[in-house]
Amino acid sequence: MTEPRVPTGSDAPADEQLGFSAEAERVYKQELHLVVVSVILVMIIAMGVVFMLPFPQLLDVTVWGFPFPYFYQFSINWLGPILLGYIVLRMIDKNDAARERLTRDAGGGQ
Amino acid sequence: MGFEREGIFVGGVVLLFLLIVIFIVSGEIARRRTTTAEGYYLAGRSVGPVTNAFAIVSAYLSCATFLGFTAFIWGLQSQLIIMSQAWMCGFLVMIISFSGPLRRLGTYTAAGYISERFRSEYGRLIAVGFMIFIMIMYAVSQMKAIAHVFEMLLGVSYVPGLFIGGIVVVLYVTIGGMYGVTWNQALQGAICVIAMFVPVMAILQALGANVWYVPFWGYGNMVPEMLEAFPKFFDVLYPPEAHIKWYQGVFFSMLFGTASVPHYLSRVASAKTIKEGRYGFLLGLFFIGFVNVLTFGSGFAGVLWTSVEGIEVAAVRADMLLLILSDIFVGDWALAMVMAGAFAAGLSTTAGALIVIGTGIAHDIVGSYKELTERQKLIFAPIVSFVGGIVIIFVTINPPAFALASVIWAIAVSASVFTAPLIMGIWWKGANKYGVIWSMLIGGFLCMYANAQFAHPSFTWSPIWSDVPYGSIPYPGVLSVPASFVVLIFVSLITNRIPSLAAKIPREETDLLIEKAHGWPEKHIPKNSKRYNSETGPIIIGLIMLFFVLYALFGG
Repeated sequence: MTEPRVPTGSDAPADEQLGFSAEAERVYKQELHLVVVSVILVMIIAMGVVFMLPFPQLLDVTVWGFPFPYFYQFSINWLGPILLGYIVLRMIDKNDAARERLTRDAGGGQ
Repeated sequence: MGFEREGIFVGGVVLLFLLIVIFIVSGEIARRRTTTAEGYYLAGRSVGPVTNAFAIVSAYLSCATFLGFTAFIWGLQSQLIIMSQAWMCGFLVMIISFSGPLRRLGTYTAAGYISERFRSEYGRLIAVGFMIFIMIMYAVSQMKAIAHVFEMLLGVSYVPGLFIGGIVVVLYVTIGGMYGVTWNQALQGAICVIAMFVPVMAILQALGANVWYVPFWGYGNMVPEMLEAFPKFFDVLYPPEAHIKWYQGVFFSMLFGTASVPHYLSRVASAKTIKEGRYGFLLGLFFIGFVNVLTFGSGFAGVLWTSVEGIEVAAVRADMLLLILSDIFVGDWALAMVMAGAFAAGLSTTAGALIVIGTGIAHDIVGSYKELTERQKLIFAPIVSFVGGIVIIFVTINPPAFALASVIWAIAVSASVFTAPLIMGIWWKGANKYGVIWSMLIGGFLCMYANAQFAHPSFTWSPIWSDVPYGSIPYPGVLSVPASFVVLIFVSLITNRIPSLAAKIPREETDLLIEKAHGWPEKHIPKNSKRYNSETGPIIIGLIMLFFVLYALFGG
């Protein structure tokens, strides 16, 4: 759907000369860790009932009248990921802002 | 099941007619403001977070899910709640892991992404082929659900309902429904949420829920009655009904599938900014979860009612359960609302599916062999969509037992074909066109090999791995999704080390593309940047996925 871009290549000065190499590495690693950890957490919450499989007695534990695994799915597994997503997106916003600030201070920009 | 209405339901016909008029007017207003393809698909990338949230709800909530979740809870009891919430969480994986980079890349279809990221014409054609196939399966389930709506609307049997409803939808989509996709989807999403919330509240009140005004949580007092009438309603979450491989299948087919379905992806790109897009998705996620938990209530009501009353329901008629519950326990107004919600959901999803089919064939397949003018494309694409729609109507004469079954299968195919290229392609520079082509082919083949008869009864070439629908090895994604990751990662690792093949990979271009997709300005990308280039992560993922493949094949 989109036209292939023809990159112009990079004639950027060495990062060391710009003095931002270490900070760029920190922002990159923060992005990587943030995404990996949060995606794993989302997956764990989404499949939370799997971790209840060794405990069938949880069916006898009721919350608001519902067996706990059922309750988990329609409450914690509905609002939990959204709350987690909100926290993670705030952190991703900060990471994006840090990258923009870093490149702007170094004389670049998007 | 003898609950068909007799004669035409005038209130429902009037409401559906009004809806169609509103959608056409909304589409026409959007069409007059549209001058480019981006405007056509993405409302000029100018959609606010609330509007985008409802458009996302609409993209998620098809007619098959609107009616089908209730039917599936009747068929599978509590197992559906695992599937639907995994489905919802897949969106969050998409938002976090690749919505921003995709938006920066400027692509808004899976085929566009494959073409842009991997620079492969074969890859693009394979992706288009799968996209069309996925959308056909999606549309089949919509047609079945729409047929049920028209059955009750007009008091006719299934096949006349299918043809009348199907032709109304295909004509609407072909003539006017393709304009203002985003705006109409937002409107349809809002209708779906309201049309589920109010009738479910009324149904649960009629059945005796003590906190019916909180219909998603307020029917706990009916649990003892359910346990008496249908003791295994909650037990099915545990073995032997739900084997660990069942959970593995749900995990890979649903959670990984949602992240990559073609018409969900386009919603990433319609927001004004990346930040607004992400928060719009989060709001959309809230409403998606809201509709999901409401369907748990309606499904619970359906199972309880049929069990207590000893009513036998043919599986193929279970998709009408929400309509019947509304009709019997509440009355005409609730039935009209549910019909409106189902119709709105069906229109938006069928429109999305037929657009993908029409543009895929006209632009991507025919267009790659013969250069078409813009005018030819504008004429050819709707014709292909119309013919495609009619073919889908005929295919749906003999439908799957549950409308949702073919949607689930389509999502599993999408997970098997597109998720590995999306995740690995965005986060690993080493992912290359050889890996992605083989990953799509092998993932797609493995997914289509088994249990496809649940998606459509004519797929007799596909063996059934379990006697129980969605039993111990229910989803082909249990094997095909991890296999697609394994193939992509290890084929890429190997071909990157073969000089003659590596020379054909435009690494300089694609490496730059990935850095820019993550927001690094070009002038700050060092020539030999090591970012997104480590092989450790991909190898770990590849080995984990290999474990899942082996467990799916040989595990106990």
